[in-house]
Amino acid sequence: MEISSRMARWGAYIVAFYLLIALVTPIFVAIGILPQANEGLGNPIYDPPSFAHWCGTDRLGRDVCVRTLEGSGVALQVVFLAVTLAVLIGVPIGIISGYIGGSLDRFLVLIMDTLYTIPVLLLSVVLAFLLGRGIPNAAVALCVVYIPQYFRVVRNQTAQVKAELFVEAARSLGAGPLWIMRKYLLGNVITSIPVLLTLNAADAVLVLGGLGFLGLGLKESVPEWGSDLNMALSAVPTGIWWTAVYPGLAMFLLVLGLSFLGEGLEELMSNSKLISNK
Amino acid sequence: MFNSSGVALELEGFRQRYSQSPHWILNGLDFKIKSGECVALVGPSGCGKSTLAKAILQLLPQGSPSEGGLFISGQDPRQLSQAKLRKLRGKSVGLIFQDPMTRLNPLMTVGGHLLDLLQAHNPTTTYSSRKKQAEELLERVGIHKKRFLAYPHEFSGGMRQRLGIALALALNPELVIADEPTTSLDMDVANKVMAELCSQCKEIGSALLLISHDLAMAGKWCERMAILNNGKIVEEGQSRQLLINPKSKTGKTLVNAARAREGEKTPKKSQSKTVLEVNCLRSWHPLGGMLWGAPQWVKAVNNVSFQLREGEALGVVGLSGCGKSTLCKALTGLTPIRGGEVKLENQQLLTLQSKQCQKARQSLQMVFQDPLASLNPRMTIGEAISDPLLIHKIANQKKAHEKSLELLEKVGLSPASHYQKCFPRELSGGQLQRVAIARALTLNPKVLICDESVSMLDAESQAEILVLLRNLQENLGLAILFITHDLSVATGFCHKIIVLNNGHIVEEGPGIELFNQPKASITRKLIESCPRLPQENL
Amino acid sequence: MSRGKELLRYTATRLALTPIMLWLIASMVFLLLRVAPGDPVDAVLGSRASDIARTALRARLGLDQPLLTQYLVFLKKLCQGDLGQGLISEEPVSKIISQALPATIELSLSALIISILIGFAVGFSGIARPQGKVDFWGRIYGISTYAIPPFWAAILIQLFFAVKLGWLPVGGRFPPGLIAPQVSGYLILDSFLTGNLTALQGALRHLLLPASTLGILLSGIFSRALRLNLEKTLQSDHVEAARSRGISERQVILKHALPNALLPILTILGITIASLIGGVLLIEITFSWPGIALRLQEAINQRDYPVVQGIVVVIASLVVLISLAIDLVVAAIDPRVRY
Repeated sequence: MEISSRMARWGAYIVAFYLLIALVTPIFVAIGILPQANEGLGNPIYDPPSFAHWCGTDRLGRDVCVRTLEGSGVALQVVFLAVTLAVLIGVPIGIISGYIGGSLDRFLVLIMDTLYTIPVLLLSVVLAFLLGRGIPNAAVALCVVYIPQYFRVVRNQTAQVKAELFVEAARSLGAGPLWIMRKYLLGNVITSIPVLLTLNAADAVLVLGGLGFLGLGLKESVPEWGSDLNMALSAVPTGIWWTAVYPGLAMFLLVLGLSFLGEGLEELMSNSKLISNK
Repeated sequence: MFNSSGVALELEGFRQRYSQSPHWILNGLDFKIKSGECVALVGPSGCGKSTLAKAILQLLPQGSPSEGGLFISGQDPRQLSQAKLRKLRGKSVGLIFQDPMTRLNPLMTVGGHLLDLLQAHNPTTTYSSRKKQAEELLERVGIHKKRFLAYPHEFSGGMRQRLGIALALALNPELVIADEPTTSLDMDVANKVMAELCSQCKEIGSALLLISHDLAMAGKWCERMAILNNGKIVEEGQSRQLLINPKSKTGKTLVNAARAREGEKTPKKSQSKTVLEVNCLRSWHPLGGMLWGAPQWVKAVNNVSFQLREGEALGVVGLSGCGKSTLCKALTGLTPIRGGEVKLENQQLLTLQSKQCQKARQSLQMVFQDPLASLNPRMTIGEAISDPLLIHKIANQKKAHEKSLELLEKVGLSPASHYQKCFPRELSGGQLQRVAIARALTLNPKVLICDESVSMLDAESQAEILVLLRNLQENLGLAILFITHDLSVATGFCHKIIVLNNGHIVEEGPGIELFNQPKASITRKLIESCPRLPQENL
Repeated sequence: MSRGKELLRYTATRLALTPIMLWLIASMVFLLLRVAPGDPVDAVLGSRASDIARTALRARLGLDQPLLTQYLVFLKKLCQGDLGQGLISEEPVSKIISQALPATIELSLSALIISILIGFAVGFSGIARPQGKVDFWGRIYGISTYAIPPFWAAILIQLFFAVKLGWLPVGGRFPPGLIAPQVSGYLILDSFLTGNLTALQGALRHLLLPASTLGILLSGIFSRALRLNLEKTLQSDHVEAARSRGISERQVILKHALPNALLPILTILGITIASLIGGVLLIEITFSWPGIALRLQEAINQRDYPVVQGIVVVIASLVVLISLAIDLVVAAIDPRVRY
C-alpha cells in the first residue's frame, strides 16, 4: 500500500518533468539558448562532453544534449497519439463484442487474438515498413498494435459485468442494448483502462525506440532516441559512450516513470476495490 | 486424551482488536464451553462473531492486540511456540468455514486434503495407513471413497461442506468451531449438513461452538445459546428458554424480528379485480447437444397457471431449482416463453408487438434477491431510481430528480436529499433493498415481483422490509408475486401460496393450511427442513 | 471420465482454430506487404533500369498476375512449405530462415533459462518479508528491467564488458579465426557432439553477453509475476484454512500456495515468448548475432519483401504454436474445467 502510492507519486513526477521538457525545449531553441537539433556543420564530430556541448556531439557534429531533450517531445507526441487512438477504437469494439456476443464476438476475438499473438515489435515493424516514416504514420502503426490489448481487456470485462445482476435489473426495467452499454457497462468497464493506458504508453516508448533503432518509424532528421542510438552503435567498439548513454538514459527514465505510475495506480485501485468490498 | 478440567474453551474478559483501529471488536468476553457441549453464538451482523473464531486459532493478522484470558483445553494459544500452536490447530480445535468452495485448494484432490492434514500431524505413520484413515474419514461423513481422487470443484456445496467437516474432525479435536457453516447452502442441504455435523461431534465427544445469525437454526441444534453484541455477551442460557423469553434488549429485538418474519397467521383478503393472469405458462431451456437427434429441453417452468388480484400477495415457494427464478424471468421478459398466455391488465403480453409489449411491461416490475448486486455500483441512488423514467423517456432530468426524492421518502429513506447522493456500497442491505423497491415503483407498476427479496437480509431488516411492502401494497393497491424458498416467511406475508416442484404447481392454498395439513411430499420437506422458533405452548 | 472428454474437446477446438489463425497471419502479412508503397522491382534493379528488364523481372516474380492469383499461388506454395525466393540473394527463403533460426533459438533458450533463474530468485526473496527492504528493491528491479530499452542495455554492456574491460567479444557468434563445427546448427550442442572444447569456449564467450543481457531484461517479468501471484495465493481463503488445520508454513507454501501461484505464471510464460522474440530481435542486431532478426533487418533495408514475408510468417507461427502448447499444458494441469 505504502510502496504503491510512493511509486505512483514518483512516476507522476517523472512524467510531469518530461512534459515540462517537451514544452520548454522548443522555446529555448527558438530564442537561441539551445542550438538547433540538426545543426552540426560548424561543430567538431564525436566531441566528448564539454562546456560548449554538455553531452558531446555525434557523428554529424550535432549536439547530443539538444537531440535528447527534443526527443522527449517527439516520443510523447507519438505515444500519446497512438495510445489515444487505440483506446478510442479498442474500447467501443470491445464493449459491443462483449455485450452482443454470438458469432460477431467469436469472429472479432479470433482476429484480435491473432493480432495479439504476433510479437508487438514484429507487427509494428511490418506496419511501419509499409506506412512509411513520419509522426502520424508511426502513431498509426503503434495504435494497431495496442488495439487488441484494449479489446481483450474490455471485452472480457464486459462479458463478466454483463452477467451481473444489475444489468439484468436494467433489462427488466426495459433498457435497450445501447442504453445498457452506455450507462451500465461503460462506467464499470473502463476502470482498468487508466492502468493499461500508462503501461501501454511505457511499452510504446520502447517500441517506438525499437523501430527507430531498426531504421523505421520517424524521418531521419527528427531527433528520436532510437535512431540516435542506432547511429551510436557503430561507434561503440571505439569507446565513444556519450552518444549512446544520454538518449538511452532519457528513454529509460521516461519508461520507468510511466511504469511506476501504471503499477502504482494498479495497486491503489485493487486496494481500494478490496476496501469497498469489505 | 482430553484434559481433566472438562472445559474445552474458556474466555475471561477477552478483548481483541485489529492493529490499525483503536476500536475493540471483542470487548470483555466471558464465556465457557464444557467438553462435549453444543453451544450456539448468535448476534446481529457486525457483532464480532467471526473475529472470535479467528482470534481463538490466532489466525488474525500478526500483531493484532488482544487482552484477557483465552484458554483452549487449559492452554493459552498466545503463549505457545509456533510448533505447539500448529499442533493445537487441527488437533485440539477444528474450524469449519462459511464458504466451502474458497476454503479448499482447487488443485488438490479431496483425498489429498485429508492426507496432507494427517501427514502434518502424524508424520511417522505410513502412507498406506494414512490413506486408509482418510478413506474412513470420507465414509464417515457420507462421501464414498470412490471419490477420493475427485477435485473440490466437482463437488456440490453440500459435499464440500461435508469434506470441511471431515477435515475439522479428522484428529478428534476437543472443540469444533463452525462459523456460519450452512449460510451458502440450500435449506434442505443445510439441514442434512447440520445433522451430520452434530452427530459426528457427539460420536467423538467434541464440543461444538456454532456461530450463526439464524436463531431458529441455532435453537434447533444447540442446547445452550449465547447472544453477542458490540463485542460482549449480553445474554446466555438454555436455547429454548432464551428464545421463548429473552431478557436482554438485543435478545428481544433478535427474537421479535425472527418471530415477525415467521408470521404466525396468514392475512385475509377481500375480492378485487384480477391484474395478472397466467395460463399454462411454459418456459423451457434447450440443452446442449442439439446437433444430434431431437432437441432436449429443461422444462424449467411447465404448465403453470395462476391469477393475481389487485392488492393481493401470492407466494411462490419451492426448493432451489424448482423453477421459481425462471418464472420471474419469463414474466419480466428476461427469458423466452415457449407457450401459454400471460394477461397483464387484460392485455395479452405474448401477442403484442415489441414496442407495445415494452410499454405494457412497465406495469410489472421486479425486486431482486441481492440488493447490492442489482444496483449499478457507479450510479448514485438518485440516478438509479430515476433511470427507468429516462429509459422510457417519460420525464426529463429535472422531473426525474424530483420523482426520485419523492420515492425515497415513500420507502422510508429520509432525508431523501442525503440518500440520493450516496453510492450503493455506502448503504446497508436493508436500505439498499428499500432503494431497489423505490426503483421498481418509479414506473407506477400494478404488479411487483419479489424474487427472494428478503432472504439475504438479517432478521431485523427482513421484518422491516416486509412491513414496508405490506404498507405499499395497502396504499397503492399493488399486487405482489412473492417468490421465496422459506415457507414460513411466505405464510406470514402472502394471502395465498403455490408450491412449485420441477416446474409444476404441486399444491396451493392459504399458507396456514399448507402448514397444518401439507399434502404434497415436497411441502412436508419444506416444513421439516425449515427450523422454527420454539413455541411457548408446546 | 467426463474430465478427460472435456480436455479432449478443448484440445480439439484449440487445434482446429490454429490453422485458421496461421492462415489469418499469412494472409495479413501478404496483403500488408502488397499494398506497401514502393515497387519491389525498384529495390532489385534500381529506379534507372530499363522498362524491358522491369517487365521481365515482374513476370518472373509473378507480379504481373492479378492480386488474387498471386495470393492463391502464395497460399498453395505455403502449404507445400515453399516461402518463395529472396529477391537479392535468389536463395529459397526457407533455406535462409532455416540457416538463421538455430542461432536465434540458441540465444532465446539460454536467455529464457537465465531469466527464470534470476526472476524466481528475486521473487522468492521478496515474499519472505513482504513490504520489507528486499521486497521493495525486488519490485523496483522488476519494473526497471522492463523499462530498460533492450538495445540500450546491450550497448551499455558492450561498452563496459567488451570495450572497457575487454573480457568478452563485442559481437558475433563465433571467433572469426576458428572453423565452426557443423552438425545441427546449434553451436554449443555441436561443439559438445564433436568434442571440440576450443569451439565450445569460443561459442560460450560469444553467447554470454547477449544471453545474459536479454535474460536480465526478461527476469523482471518473472520476479514480478511470482511475487504478485504468490502474495495473492498466500492471502487466499484456502491457505488460511490450511493454516487453521495446523499445516506447517513450509508445507502451506509448497503444497497449497506455490502450485496455485505457478499456474498463472505458466500462462505468463506463453505471453513472454512474444516479448522475448521482440527482445531477441533488438539484441541480435546490437550484438550482430547472425540470427533471424539480423536477416530481417537486412531484408527490410533491401526491401526484399519475400524474405520479410517469410520471416514474419515463420516467427508468428512459432509464437502461435508455442502459446498453444502452453495453453494445453495449463489445461491439462489445472483440474478446473474451462470452456
